[in-house]
Amino acid sequence: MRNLNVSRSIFFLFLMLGMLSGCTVKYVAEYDSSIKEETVQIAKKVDLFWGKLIDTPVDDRKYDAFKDQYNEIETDIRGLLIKNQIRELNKVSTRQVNNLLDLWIEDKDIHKSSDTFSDFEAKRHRKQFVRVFIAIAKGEEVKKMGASSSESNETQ
Amino acid sequence: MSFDIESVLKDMVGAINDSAKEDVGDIQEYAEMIIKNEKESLKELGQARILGEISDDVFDREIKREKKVVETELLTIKIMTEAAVQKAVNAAIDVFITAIKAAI
Repeated sequence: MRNLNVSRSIFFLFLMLGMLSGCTVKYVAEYDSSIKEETVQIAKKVDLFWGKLIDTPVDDRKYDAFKDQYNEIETDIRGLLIKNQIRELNKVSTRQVNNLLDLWIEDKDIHKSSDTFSDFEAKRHRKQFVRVFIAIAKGEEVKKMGASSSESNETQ
Repeated sequence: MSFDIESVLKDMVGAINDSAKEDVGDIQEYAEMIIKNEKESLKELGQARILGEISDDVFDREIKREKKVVETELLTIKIMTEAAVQKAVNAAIDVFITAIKAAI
C-alpha cells in the first residue's frame, strides 16, 4: 500500500514537471557551437602569447612590448563573457569566463608592475590557461548532453 | 489501450538508469583528470618554494590562482551533472508521454 503511494507521488511529480515545463525540463543553456569555437580561438591566441613571451629573453620582456596583445586578448575575453552572460541558464559558464578574465587581468597587472615576467610564472600560467580553456570549452560541449532523446533526434 | 502505471514507472526508472550510466563514466573520467592536473601543479609549486626558486609572495599568489583554476574545472563537473540530470528526467518524461499516447 505504501509502495503504491510512493509510486503515485513519483508519477504525479513527473506529470507536474512535464506539464509545467512543456514536457521537457531544462537546467542548462542550449549548446552553442559558435561559443565553443570562439573559446578555442581565444585559447590559441593566449597560448601563442605565452609562446612568444617565453621565447623572448627575460630582460627584453618589457610590458610595452606586450601591452597591445594584453588589451586585444582582454577584449576578446570580455566579448566571450558578454555572450555567455546574455544566455539563459548559463550562470555557471559565465562564472568560468569571469575566472578566466580575472586570471588574464592579474597577469597584465603582474607584468605592468614588474615590467618583466619570470620563466617560472610564464610557463606555469600557460598551463593554467590551457586547463581553464579546456574546462570552459568542455562545459559548453556537455550542454549537448542535456538534450532529450527526441531533441537529439530532431537535430541529427 | 490500457495504461499500467506500475509498468510505466518501471520503464521510466529504466530510462533514468540507462541515461545515467552513459554520463557517469564521462564525469568520473574528467574528475580524475582534474585531480591529476592539480596534483602535478601543486607538486611543482611546493618544490619551487622549498628550493627557494620563488618568494612567499609569488607562492601565495600562485595558491590563489590555483584555487581559481580548479574552481573553473569543477564548475564544468557541475554543468556535466546538471546536463546529465536534465537528460535523465527528460528521458523518463519521454517514456511517460509515449505510454500516454499509446493508451489514447
